Amino acid sequence: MEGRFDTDDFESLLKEQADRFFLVPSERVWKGIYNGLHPGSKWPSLGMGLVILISLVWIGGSHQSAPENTVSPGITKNIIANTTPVVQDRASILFNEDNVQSAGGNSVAVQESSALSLTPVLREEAPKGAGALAAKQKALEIPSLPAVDLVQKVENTKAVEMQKTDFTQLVKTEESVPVIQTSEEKVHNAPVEAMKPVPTAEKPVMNLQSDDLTEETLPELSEFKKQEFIKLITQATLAAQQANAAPSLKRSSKVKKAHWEFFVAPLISNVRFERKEVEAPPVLSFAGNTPTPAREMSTRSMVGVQAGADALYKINDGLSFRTGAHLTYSGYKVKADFVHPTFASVIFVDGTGEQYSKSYMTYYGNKGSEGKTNLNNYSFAFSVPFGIDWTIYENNNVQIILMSSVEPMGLLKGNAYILSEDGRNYVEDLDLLRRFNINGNVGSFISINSSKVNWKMGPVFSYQVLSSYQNAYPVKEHRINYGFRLGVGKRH
Amino acid sequence: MTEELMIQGCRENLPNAQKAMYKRFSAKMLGVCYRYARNQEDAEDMLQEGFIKVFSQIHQFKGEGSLEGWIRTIIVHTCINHLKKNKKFTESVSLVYANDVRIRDYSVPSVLQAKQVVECIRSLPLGYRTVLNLYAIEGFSHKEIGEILEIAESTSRSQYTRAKALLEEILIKKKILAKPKKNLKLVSGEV
Repeated sequence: MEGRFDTDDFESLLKEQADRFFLVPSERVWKGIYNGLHPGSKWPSLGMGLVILISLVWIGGSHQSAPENTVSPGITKNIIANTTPVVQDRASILFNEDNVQSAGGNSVAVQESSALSLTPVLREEAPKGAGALAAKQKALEIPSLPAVDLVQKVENTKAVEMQKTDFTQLVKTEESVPVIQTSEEKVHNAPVEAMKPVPTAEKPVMNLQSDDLTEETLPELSEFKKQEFIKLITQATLAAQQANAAPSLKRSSKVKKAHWEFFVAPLISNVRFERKEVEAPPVLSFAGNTPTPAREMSTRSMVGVQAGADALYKINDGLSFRTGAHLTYSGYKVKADFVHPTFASVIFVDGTGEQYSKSYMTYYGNKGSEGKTNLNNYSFAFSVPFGIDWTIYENNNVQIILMSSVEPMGLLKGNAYILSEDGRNYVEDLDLLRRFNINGNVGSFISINSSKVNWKMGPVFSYQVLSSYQNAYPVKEHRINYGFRLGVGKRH
Repeated sequence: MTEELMIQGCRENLPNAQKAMYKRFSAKMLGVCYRYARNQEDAEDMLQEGFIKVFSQIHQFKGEGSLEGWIRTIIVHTCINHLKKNKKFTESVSLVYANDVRIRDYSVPSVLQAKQVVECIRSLPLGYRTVLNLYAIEGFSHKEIGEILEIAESTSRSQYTRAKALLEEILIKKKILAKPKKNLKLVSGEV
C-alpha cells in the first residue's frame, strides 16, 4: 500500500486513534457522581455519626459510674453501707469504758453469735482502769494504713475465714450482727439498735488498724483469736471507709459530671456560593456556559452574634459532651442599586431535573461593587449543638480545649435576595429559604478558673453544611461564620 | 440492560441504571476528557462533572442520534467549560508558540498506538490542543469552535494550522511519523 495523506487523512487518522483510546476512571469518580445525584444519601452517614456520638457518651457515662460499685465487690456485697453504724457500734462497745467498767470482773468478753457453732469465743482479760484507757488511746492515735493494705489483708484471710467462721454475716445486716457482750451480760442476737451508742469522737474507729492491736492492747489473746480479731477490725475499718467515702464520691461526681456554661460570641459572617450549571442542552447551543462576571454578586461581611447556654457532660478526664441551645443572628450584605420597577426572572430546576423559571418584580439592580445600597441577607436561627470538647492541656486554673460540634438549626426569620438569571437585578424570594439546616463548628478555648466562676474564651468557626436555599435554586449558598466566644460558668 | 431500559432508569433517577450507563461509557469518555485535561486527575474531575450533567439532563435526550454521541457532546462541553472556569484556556490560547512551523506533507506508518497519539496531542499547548481536538477529532467547524471558545473564527483557523504543524513535528520526533520525503511515500511496515 502506498499513498499520501492529505489534511483530511491526517484528521481522520487522529480521530480514529483518539477514538480508540480509553482510560478506566478511579472509584472516586463514581462516588462523586453518586453523591452529586443522590445528596439524600449523606443523611445515613450523618445519622450514623450521631449514633456513634451518643454511644460514646453513654459508654463514657457508664464507665464513669462503675468504680463506685466495683471496689472490692466481694466485700461490699456483704458489708456495704449499713455496715458503718454496725462497725462503729461494735468498735465502740469494744472500747467503751462503760462496758469495761460494767464488766466488773475487769474483763471484756467479746463473743460472736452463738448461733454459729464454729464461732470462736473471745474472752480475754483487759488491762484495768487507767491502764486500759491509755492502751486504747495509744492504739487509736496511730495513723491509718492505705486502703489497699486493708483489702490485701482481707483477701489473705478470706480463705481461713470461710473455713472457720462466717464473719461476713457479722456485718451483713443489723439483725444478723453478733452482739458484743460483757462477760456478765450475755444477750444473744440482740439487735444493734438496742446497744447504747457511744460517742466516738475520741475513739475514731477509722484510725484503728490491725497493726495497732498489739500484745499491749490484747495482752492475753491466743494467736488464733488475735488473728480473728484483727481480721474483724480490718474488715470493719475497710467497710467504714467505703461506706463513708461512697456518698461523697457520688456527690462530687454529680457536681463534676455536668455543668452549664453561658456564652456570647460576636461573629463576622461571610458567604460562599456554588452554582450548579443550568444550561440549554449542549446539542442545541454551542455558546459558552460559564457565568459571566455580571452574574457575580458583590457581597460584604456583616457582624452577627450568637448567644446561648451549653451543658457540658464529662465523659472522662479529657472529653466532654456538649449540647445546649443557641440563638444566632448572622448574614451578609449585598451591594445593589435602586432601579425603576422591572421584571426579572430566575431559573429553577425541579426534582426531576426539569427547568422552570419564575418572574419577580424588583426595585434592585446589580451594578457590582458600585452599588449604593445594601440588601441584608440575614438569618435568625435557633439551634441545638451536639459536640465534643477535648481538653488538650490542663492545670489547676487553666485548661486549653478543642471543640467540635454539629448543630441542627431551625430558621426563625431570614431574608433572601438572589440574583436574577441575567445578573442585572436582585429579587427577593423568602419561600426559597431552607427552614432547617446544619452547621459544623470547630473552636478552641482557653478556660480560666477564677475564685467562683470559670471563664472560657476563644475563636470559633462554623460552616453551614446545606445551602441556605432550597434544592430547586441552582445556586448553593453556604454561610461561614468566624467568631470569638466568651463564656462563663460555675467553677468546676 | 438494554439502552432503552438504561435511559428510562436514568430518567427515573435509578442508581442501578445510572451506574450501568456510567460503566458503559466512562472509560471512553475519560479518554476524551484526558485529551483536554492537564492530567488524569483533572480529566476525572471533568468526567465526574460531565456525567452529573448527563444524568441530570437525560430527560432531554429524545433518542435522535446515538446516546454515545449525545453524552460525548456534553462531556466535551464540560471539558471546555472546565478549562474556561479555571482560566486555563484563555491564558493558553493567546500563546504564540509555533509561528515558524510550516506545514508539510508527510507519511505515516500503518500502525499507530492510540495512546502515543493521544500523548502527543496532549503535549501541545492547551490552546492549540483544544482547537485541534474540537476540529480534527470532534468535527466542529471553525465557526462553531469560535462560538464555543469565544474567539474569532479566523483565530480558530490559525490556531488549528499551527497546532497541526506542531503536532506533526512532535509525531516525527517521536518517530510515529516518518520525515516527509520528496516523493511523499508512505513509510510503513507494508512498504
